[in-house]
Amino acid sequence: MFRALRNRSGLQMSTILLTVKFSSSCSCPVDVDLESSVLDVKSTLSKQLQIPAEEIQIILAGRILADKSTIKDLCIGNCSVLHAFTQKPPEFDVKVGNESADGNTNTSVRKGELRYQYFVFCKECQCLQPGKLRVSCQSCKSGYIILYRDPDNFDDVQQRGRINGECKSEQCNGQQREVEFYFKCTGHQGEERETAAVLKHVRPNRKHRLCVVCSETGSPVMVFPCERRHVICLDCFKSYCVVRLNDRGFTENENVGYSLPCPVGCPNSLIEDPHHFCLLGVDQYERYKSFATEEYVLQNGGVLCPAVGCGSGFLLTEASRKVTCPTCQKGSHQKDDPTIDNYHTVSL
Amino acid sequence: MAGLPRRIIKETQRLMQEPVSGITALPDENNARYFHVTVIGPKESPYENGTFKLELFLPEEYPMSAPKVRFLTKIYHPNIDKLGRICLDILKDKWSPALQIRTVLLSIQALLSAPNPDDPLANEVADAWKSDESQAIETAKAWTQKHAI
Repeated sequence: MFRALRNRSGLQMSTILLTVKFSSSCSCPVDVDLESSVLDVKSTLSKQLQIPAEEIQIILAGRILADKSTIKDLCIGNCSVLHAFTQKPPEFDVKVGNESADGNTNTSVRKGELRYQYFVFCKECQCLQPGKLRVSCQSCKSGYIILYRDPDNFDDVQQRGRINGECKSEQCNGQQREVEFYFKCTGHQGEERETAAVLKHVRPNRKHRLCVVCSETGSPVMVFPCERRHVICLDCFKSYCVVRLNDRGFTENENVGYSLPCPVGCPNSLIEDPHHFCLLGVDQYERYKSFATEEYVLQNGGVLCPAVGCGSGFLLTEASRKVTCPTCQKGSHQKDDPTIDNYHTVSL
Repeated sequence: MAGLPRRIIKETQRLMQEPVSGITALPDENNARYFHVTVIGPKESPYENGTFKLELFLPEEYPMSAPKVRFLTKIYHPNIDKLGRICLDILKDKWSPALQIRTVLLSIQALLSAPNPDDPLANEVADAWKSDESQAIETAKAWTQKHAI
């Protein structure tokens, strides 16, 4: 769990630097101890800004933070940005009461469950990393938004307009706004709005389910969307994909693209997002992409240039018997390549 | 069994503890990937009462690639050739890493109950099967009597 809290040299740090933004023109850097509470952060801010601590509310990922939560509970890394706004206490006395009454244990338990709930493929780290879900306002793109309800599933997160919130930014001024969700990598310190592709089928293996291939109980695992929710560990997933790729055994599907079903062959088990194939590594992912393109071209009535080393695919617009390969014609081959004369036209 | 994947160890244990009726599969003493297999001819098939010996080998890539299985006992069957090679889709392109030794042997047992001369491996046998099925079944019974009992 300390992974996100390590600095680049790998040492664990007991304090981290946070930036608390009040508005586009006002933000405060604060050094905080991991064991300190949200209330401690508020007191620090209160001294710096000369605002009573009870008037400060801090938002992270669409939720107002409870005073008693510790920084450690929040699972945030060094240099994280939090958003804050000020409000006179009476106005939301009730809300604060609720938050801290049922709140505190609840918040930390819930945060505990959330830990490593999501995984992303990070282009920066070039690997699978635990991801964190972040939210922003659809209108002003800021993080001052408070969700009306938490997302229950991936559809809530990936389809627009299912969840709204109240945006506390200067621009939106407490208006109801649509919420935008995005995922960030926990493995490195990125820009505030840097995003990573979430891999929705990769989950922690909390129930210790057996991989259908190797019978081990590793974690995280791929969970296929079939009715029986078959599970495959990530090592077996890679070999399964490479073997099927070697056989050109992927399936081209109009909704999900070039994909694979669960190894048991259940109906409706195709992997729904091609980003999962990034896990195969750069070389195999490149192969995956070119096979996928070829399959797409062929299925849509296109042709592939048979010239050695060309293989460009193109879709035909006219019903002609012979076409000239646009790539070869542009001279992507050696000029003295004897095969060009024979092959630069494709007979249909 | 050092270096043997856990999956193979588990499958072997299960084959020993919960054997499939009419099938035995014992790993070789010197090679845990090589199995000595026997399949009893299914009832009401021309192979009834016969005990057929097979060999099964789990290649390095198993379970990503299929086990290699071959009949050692001579058998008269349209989908099994004279070298004992078996024409069965799950041993070829329909293989899936979710299949197991158990499921493969059950499929072979089922193949003995339901020969498929339309997808032959032994052409002569398949032709005989299609032109005169009752004669072919008699031959299969005679071979069973001669080689498998």
